Amino acid sequence: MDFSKIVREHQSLVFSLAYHMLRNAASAEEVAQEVFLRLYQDRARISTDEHLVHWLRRTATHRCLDILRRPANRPHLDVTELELSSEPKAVDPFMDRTLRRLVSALSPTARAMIVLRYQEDLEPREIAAMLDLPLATVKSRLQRALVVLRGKLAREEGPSYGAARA
Amino acid sequence: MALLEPDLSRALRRKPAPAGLAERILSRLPREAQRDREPYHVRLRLAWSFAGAIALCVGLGVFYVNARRIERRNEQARQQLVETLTVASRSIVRAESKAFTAAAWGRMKERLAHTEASAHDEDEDAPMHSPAPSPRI
Repeated sequence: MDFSKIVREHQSLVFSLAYHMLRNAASAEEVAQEVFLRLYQDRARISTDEHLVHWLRRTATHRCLDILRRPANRPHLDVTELELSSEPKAVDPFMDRTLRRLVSALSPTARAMIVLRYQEDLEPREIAAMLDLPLATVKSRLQRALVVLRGKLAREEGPSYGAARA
Repeated sequence: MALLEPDLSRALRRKPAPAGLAERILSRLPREAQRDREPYHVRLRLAWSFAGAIALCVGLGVFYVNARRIERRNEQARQQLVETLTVASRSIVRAESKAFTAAAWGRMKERLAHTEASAHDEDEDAPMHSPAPSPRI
């Protein structure tokens, strides 16, 4: 398969994964470039499309975790976060922004789990395989992360969050 | 919890890549690929140098062996020539010696004959008691 086609097809996956984890467009782009350059070097080992997607998710996630675990490279709020994206007007953009901010406050591993679960729609079993963690650990940490997010959201949005949405 | 999940899915949905990201990635590829290939080029250059050194050694060895072979052949030819010349020289000396001896014998025989003839003539003319001259060789 043509490598430029692979890049164009999967750039959004890698960039978005990195962006939601790092919350910085420049860092996310740097990660995306690194991931695709590594893919170019290792492309002979990739056999199928599923393998390719798995490889991209895994490499991007681990690269972001490496960056997040370095104290000097803690992500900061990106200015692009302030601009309104092409989201439908019916949804609350402030809610989305608040949620992304709260996700970025989670620990790196929990953040990776949440992003893989809700951006890539992966099952806990797949997340466990990707992060080299036991399935039970992934399930419990996902559960805990959701509880934390819900608690923080309730504090920020008020206790009416659940009721209003219901 | 169920309420939060759709919100999370929406908030964390895939964000489109910035414009020109693919081009920026692809523009870095040749440089990166070149950097990766550098060790290969170095290895190739080393391999060529090594092969060149081996070829040079083999060439020099062949040249040396060949030179030694030619030198030995020349030496044999020289020795044969010297031997031939020695044999020829000996033959010439022997033939010359024979010729000289034969010539000397010839001259001696001639003188003897001459002397005998002279003595015979003198015997007929001179008194009996005069001594005959000794032959000169």
